[in-house]
Amino acid sequence: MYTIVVGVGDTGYHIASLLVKEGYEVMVVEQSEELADSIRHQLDVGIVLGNAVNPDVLRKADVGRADLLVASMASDEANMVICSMASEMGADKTVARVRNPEYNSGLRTVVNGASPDKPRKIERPIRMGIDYFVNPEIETAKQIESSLSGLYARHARELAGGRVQVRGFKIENGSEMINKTLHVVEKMFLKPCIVTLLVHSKEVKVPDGDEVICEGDSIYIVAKKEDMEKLGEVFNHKNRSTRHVIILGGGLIGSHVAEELSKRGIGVKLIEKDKVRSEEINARLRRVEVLHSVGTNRDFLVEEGVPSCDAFIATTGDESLNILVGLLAKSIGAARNIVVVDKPEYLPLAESVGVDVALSPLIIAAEKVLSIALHKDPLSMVLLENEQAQAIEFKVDTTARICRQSKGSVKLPKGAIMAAIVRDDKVIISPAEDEIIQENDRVVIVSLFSTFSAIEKYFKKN
Amino acid sequence: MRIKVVVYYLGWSLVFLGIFMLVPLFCSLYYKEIASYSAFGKSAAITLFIGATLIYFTTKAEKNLRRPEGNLSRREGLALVAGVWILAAVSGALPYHLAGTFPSYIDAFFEAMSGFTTTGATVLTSIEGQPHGILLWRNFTQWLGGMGIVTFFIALFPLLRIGATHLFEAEMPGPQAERLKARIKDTAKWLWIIYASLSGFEFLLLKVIGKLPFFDACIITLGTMPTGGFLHKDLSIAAYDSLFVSSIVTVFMLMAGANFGLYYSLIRHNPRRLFYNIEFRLYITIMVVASLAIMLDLAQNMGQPVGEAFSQATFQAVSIQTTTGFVTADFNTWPSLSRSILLVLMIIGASAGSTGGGLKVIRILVIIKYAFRQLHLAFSPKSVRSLRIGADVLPENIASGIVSLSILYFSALVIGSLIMSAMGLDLLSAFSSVAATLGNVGPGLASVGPISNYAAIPLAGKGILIICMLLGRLEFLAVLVLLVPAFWRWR
Repeated sequence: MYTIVVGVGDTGYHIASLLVKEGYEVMVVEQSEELADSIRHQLDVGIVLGNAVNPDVLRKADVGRADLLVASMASDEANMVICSMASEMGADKTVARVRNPEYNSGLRTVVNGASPDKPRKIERPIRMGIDYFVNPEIETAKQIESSLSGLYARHARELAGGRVQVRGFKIENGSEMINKTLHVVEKMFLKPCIVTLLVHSKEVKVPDGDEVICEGDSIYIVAKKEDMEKLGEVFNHKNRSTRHVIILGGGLIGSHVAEELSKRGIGVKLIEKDKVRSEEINARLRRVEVLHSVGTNRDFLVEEGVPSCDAFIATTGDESLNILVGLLAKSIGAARNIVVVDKPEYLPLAESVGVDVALSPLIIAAEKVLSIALHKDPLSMVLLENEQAQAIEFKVDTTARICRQSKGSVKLPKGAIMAAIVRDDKVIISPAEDEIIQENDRVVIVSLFSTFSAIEKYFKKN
Repeated sequence: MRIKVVVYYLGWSLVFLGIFMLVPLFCSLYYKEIASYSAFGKSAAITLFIGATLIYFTTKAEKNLRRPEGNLSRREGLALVAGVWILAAVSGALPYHLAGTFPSYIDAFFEAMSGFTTTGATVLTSIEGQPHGILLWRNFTQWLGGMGIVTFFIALFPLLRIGATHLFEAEMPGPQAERLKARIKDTAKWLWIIYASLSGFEFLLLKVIGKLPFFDACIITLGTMPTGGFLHKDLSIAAYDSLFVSSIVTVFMLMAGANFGLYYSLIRHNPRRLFYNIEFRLYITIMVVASLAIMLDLAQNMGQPVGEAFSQATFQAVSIQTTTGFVTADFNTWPSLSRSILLVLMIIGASAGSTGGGLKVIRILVIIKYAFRQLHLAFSPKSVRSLRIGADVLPENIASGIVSLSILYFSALVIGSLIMSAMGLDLLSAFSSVAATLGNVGPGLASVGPISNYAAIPLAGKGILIICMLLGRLEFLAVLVLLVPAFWRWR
């Protein structure tokens, strides 16, 4: 598969590096000579120097052959123009990274009817040759919301239209699971579930059932959505359902989260340091209480009720500030903290110092692009454990190799496990060896990164 | 620098070389040459054994590489490339030494280095008496070295990942290693595919239409495509005395001396690019002008008929500029203008991204433009003039890289000639021997001319020329950085 990434700033770089890891052929178009020079020695990609808004530059990048073009330059408008030209010049699919939500606000995503099996249809006033909009900030805001809807600190990732969830748990000191094999652990839960990944001293593997759990390990469990909350009780203390939230930073992410949460009747306080911006938000979001302050003062935070809030969300543009204030909020009593971090490599660090959920818009955008790249009809995929593993949902075509085979007869590559099958209204977690895979099933596979192309074979034409 | 990682890959390169030695081994077997057969058997065994031992003791380093942050660093890449080339010559010399071709190991080493670097300078006094296996091995080393041993690994080794970029850039001749495909591995693969298919094509032409014996066609091909210049005849191409053979060889030398990236664009999308390429045009122009000048000189001052003067002048100009070093005439006896032209062609060399050596046409173009710009700035210091190569502007850092490499090249030429003169060579032999080895050409002038060889040069002189060949093939950087103390400090 041939992909072109236009613009290798932070987001573009991350997308390109993930695509390379997945084994795609990647061509990068970049204006800055300096950036291009440094990327040449960091990633195995081809490089075309120039501004992609110029069709000649796109032609140099062989756009006619491209299966996917991702435009992630700094300017929204340039990205849209590039996508539009690229699809005219023969690119199969185009993705534009767009920050300003107004550009795609008119483009609604409509799910047809009740059955989630039918392909999603996207209605647009004008197509303009842009197949997908990816808005890192809005996607991040959505993830923050979804992690707040659960009752536990670490949030679950959703697949198959939300009916299957993957969730990571850390085995803490004194847990009754220590020194038990995974088979025993899975039985302890009473509900159907499967342990798909075991992280032992930073090494990620797809375990077989005889693996023993040690203290400090993390495990990733796949289960039905309705069972997941119950499962969580075994690991974590249950939180109250969210009623009061304090958000730091009124940027795109902060204001979007505030808007959505306040719509659901949750009490939201938003702290914004810029006077004009805070007035703007106040004018737009009536139900949100906007505070004009820098928000780094401990006494101020106490006074505004952080000690009794259910979640403290730090979304400013300064990632170090986010982490520090997030920690401060938790230390004075916030039930949990959610923090936005830009650099993907800081995520595990943030979580290791006591941040409950750290999210990176970069990773979220890259994940979105990957899920578009992976499929003709993008079903879902999520990246797990610092992008070392992934959970992907495949749809079984009539012509797929795996169709009408029993699970036992399909030899998935090492480092991959079939976690669930979604068939009509039924969700089969950890399917039995003799389970026959039928057409239109949706199969959830958890695997180590870079095994993707080996797995994809099974879902292609025989 | 993680020495173990470098040693691990060096081990693999030895294993590959050991396997390659089986090719002449089968050839010896076919011609029932017992002595060289056992020599190849022994050297393959030694090489494989040492390679396997190195790998065995550094397998832990390999695990290290599999980690996401375990990529080959730039230093390791440079050290590895230099190491591979030196080791290749060291082990490639074994068969010569064990078969008794040369009594002294230095001579064998000279011949092997001359092979891998595609120089084609020989210390063999009587070539035709040699067993077939040895003759094949000489040319096979050239063929491997032509497109690059390391490039061959890159095409096969998946583990190198981004480290491959450092290796590729260190080995590929020319100022900027051009990528044909987005992935470096695919680029290496395509380069080898183009190289191998051109070789196959030449072989077929010589065999089927030229009606040459299988062995001869094979040896000529293995000497032409890498612009090597070894041949199993004392008289080189002149031994065939056939216009067809020499014109086929001329055409393929010409193709081997042009940028292989152009052939890729020729088959893939844009045939016009070949003729719009400024370096290709200049390369052809220089060749045409040089051939015509030599032809006129030969016709005028040697009284040769025009037809013969033309064919000899063209063949020689192409052979010397592409740095192949095949001969159809003893140009030592030519008038001095023709000899000077050949000497200049030796220094200019072939195109970037080709299998040829020399300073490369593109660099000549850049230094001329660079110097010209400096002239312009002398009377108009505020004027802004970017260096244009065709439609593109050459970035300043690449231009200054080219200038500094040219300085290195010429200093090596001067220093090398001084040393060779100190060893008792006359002026012309000293200068041309260094120019011919540094440019990977092969035959020089005077006492190292086309019908003589390098056997008479004193031992230390051979050592100097061996270094010149390696410097010329790897274009200085990969070899010289090893001498910079800071290279070995820190990581």
